[in-house]
Amino acid sequence: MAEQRNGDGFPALLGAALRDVVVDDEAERRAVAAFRLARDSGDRATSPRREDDWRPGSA
Amino acid sequence: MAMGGAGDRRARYGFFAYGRGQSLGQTGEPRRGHAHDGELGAAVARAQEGDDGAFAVAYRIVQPGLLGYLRGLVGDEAEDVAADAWLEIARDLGRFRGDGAGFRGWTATIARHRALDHLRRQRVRPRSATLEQDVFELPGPHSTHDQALESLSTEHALDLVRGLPRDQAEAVLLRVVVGLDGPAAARVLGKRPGAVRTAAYRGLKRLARELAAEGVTDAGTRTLGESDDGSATDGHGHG
Repeated sequence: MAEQRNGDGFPALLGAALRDVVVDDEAERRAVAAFRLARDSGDRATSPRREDDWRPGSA
Repeated sequence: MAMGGAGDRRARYGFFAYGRGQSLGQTGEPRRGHAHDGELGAAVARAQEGDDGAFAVAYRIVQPGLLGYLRGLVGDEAEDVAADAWLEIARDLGRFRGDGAGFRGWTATIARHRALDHLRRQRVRPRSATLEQDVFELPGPHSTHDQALESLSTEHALDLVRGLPRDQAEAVLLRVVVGLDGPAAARVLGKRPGAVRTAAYRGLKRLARELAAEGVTDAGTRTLGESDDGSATDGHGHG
């Protein structure tokens, strides 16, 4: 069967190909700047909403 | 901080430990786990205590998968949508509860909502050229599937995934690109795990078949918005 030959490692290969992107330094700087801004603003919300709780068994 | 020379910035490796006999198989269920989940969980915990270096570490671990997912959803707009998502992630990080795997799911959900917002806005304007293009303009024929796999480029892989019905494309992207397990992918999509497992299995099977047949068949011109049964596959609002 053709699918059997295609099965081995295919998802891993596909995933690797699709993740093979250069992480842009400037984008990272902007994200970290946003983090600092939120951290230093002093009014960060810390109470989890339902969609924020990803602990095992919380779904 | 000392991380992140240019050579470190590309994610080249497969995360799931698929060996011989460990393909998705009938259940479509890969092993849970991701190479960086421990490191990611620790970084997120430190970031939640205010460590900006740790936030950068989490960003670098998560961003390649997130970007791969978003490119499948919104194409060339992925960087912009990811930037929006990270603003929200940075703002709401204090609310997050969970480990490294959980953080992948949480961030993927945020990214997905931003992507769907983007697609909704796009729908009221003329459709973009990238979505109109024949997504199956594939490079030359390969004599065998293995040969095709050896040279599977990011762009080529993306074209193939974007040719899937959207429910399959998203299931495949969340599972093999973001690195979520079945239940987490289902939670991101607001669907039952069984439905997502089936969609991922069908999508991967179809991709493998198309790669094998490449250059021989006219693979069609389906775009991401379509589903096999013609039903809408999104519409789960941000709660």
